[in-house]
Amino acid sequence: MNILIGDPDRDFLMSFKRLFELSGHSIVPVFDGTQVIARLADSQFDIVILSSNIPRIVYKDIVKVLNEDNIPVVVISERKINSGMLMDHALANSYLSLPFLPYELTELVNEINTKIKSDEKIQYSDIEMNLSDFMLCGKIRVTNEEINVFKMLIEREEPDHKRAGPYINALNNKFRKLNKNIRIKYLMNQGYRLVTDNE
Amino acid sequence: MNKVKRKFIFYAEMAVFVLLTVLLSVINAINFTMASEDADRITEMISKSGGTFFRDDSNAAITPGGRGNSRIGPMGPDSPEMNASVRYFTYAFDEDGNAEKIDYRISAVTESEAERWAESLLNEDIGWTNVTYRYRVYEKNDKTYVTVIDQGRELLPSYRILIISLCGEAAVLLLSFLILVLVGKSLFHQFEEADRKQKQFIANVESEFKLPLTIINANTEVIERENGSNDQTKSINRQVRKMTKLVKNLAALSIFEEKDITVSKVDMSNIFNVAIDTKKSKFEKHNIELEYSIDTDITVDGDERAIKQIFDELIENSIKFSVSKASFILQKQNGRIVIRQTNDTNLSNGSIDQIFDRFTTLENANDKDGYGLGLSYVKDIVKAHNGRISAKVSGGIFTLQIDM
Repeated sequence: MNILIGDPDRDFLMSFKRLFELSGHSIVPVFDGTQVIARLADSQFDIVILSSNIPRIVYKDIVKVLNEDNIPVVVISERKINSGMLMDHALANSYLSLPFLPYELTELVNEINTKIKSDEKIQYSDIEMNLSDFMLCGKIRVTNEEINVFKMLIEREEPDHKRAGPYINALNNKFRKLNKNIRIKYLMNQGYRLVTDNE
Repeated sequence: MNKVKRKFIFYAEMAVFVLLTVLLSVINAINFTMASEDADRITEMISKSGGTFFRDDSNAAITPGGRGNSRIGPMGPDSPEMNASVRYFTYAFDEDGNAEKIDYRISAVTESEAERWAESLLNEDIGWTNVTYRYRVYEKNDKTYVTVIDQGRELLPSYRILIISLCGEAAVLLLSFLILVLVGKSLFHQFEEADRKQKQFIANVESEFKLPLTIINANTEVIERENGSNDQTKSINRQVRKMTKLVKNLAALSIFEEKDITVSKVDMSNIFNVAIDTKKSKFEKHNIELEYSIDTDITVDGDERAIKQIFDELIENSIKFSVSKASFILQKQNGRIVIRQTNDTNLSNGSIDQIFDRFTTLENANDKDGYGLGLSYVKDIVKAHNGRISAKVSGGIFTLQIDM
């Protein structure tokens, strides 16, 4: 894969550049937002890894550009993931909070890449998630984790309670926004379930 | 910090109030006692001279400073002017209850009223009647004498002092309150600053450690993949894992700042259900009988991560401190969301709002883990969501309530 990493910390860039190279990927490290935009203009990237505190250009503006060009992006966030963050109009394909273990980032990048190339669609009732563009019913963007949670619920698997909260909440808010009557609810002694609104 | 400031002002005001009340009460009590003693000396003089200031034969005053005495002084009971200034009446009653007017020198009461009044006091000894009238009942020549003197004019200065004292006390309290508010602002500024710096420090430690830990992790992984793992890289991994856990714990306990809020519609019922359901086994393990009532579809515009933290902290607290029973309620009351946690406790009755102060634990937490930060974090979250939180113990039941 051809990966662009944007982070102001030189050590971060160098360590992950080497780590991805060891896995056979090609890495372009950049230090600020203008360099990210410049590189995007002259090269083709499979995925962008972007720090939320990248200087010069606000990371959300860069995400917006990447969304328009349909280039997947992982945002390295200093803040914990919350559902409000997942409701942003410009949405990354995934957010990873610091600190994290190296494999979490490398696996995430592979997972997103696989999803995009799979061209798979997840369908439940009148809700459709398209993995090639990470879109919910073709209207609202969703993250990699929201897709995973939705898929697990359809397959009657239980998502990780400690981590799934923000994604479930964000999915419910997105269903509401689309006027869909499907909700993810926690049923006592059963766990999370997909239910219709009046159930 | 505002709470500490309010407490300081309250206690300082209470101290001023108590001191002033004691001082002014003593002054007024002495004043009224002296007025009573003066009145008693007059009625004693009258009683000794048979119920009148004047002898029938000479019409001469029998008071110590009597007519012809040149003594000039304040209008005390011994003053020669007293003869003319005392307003009084004396009636004598024989064994059959027949009244005899001994003297009557008063305008405010008619003779017949005075007689009835004196008669009504026959069974008394000495005291105040009708607020400002002092009476004395005494025996003389087989008759019962009742002398009543009007001390209204003499008591007037005492009442004035009393009213001035009350107004003065109110004015001093108001003034001291204003001074305390003004002084409190500068006095507490340094405490607020220290509090802010403490919050900032915790947030900084958590924030500044994240990136280096991630980089150390990544570099160690690179070294291991290039050269294979050895004891040193394994040790680095172990220590980094330890520190990562520490930083994550610190993040969970880091002080919640309003600026950190990311608002979205949060399904509280869902979050609470998950929190309870996942911790049920812990309640069972600690032999705590668990009850809960969670209304469905209660949502709030707030920070989902923070709301989850509220429930997690309440449940953890309940598991830690319940003796044998714990209950939770989530419901809507008059448009407000109410979260109530109750459990039985060994704590004594009263408000225990200090549990919301950082690094504060109660006596039942002595043998438990914790830094006394969890509920302060909950309070910050509630405050940031424009809610209120309170805690009390009553009849062996601990109740914590959040209104949002």
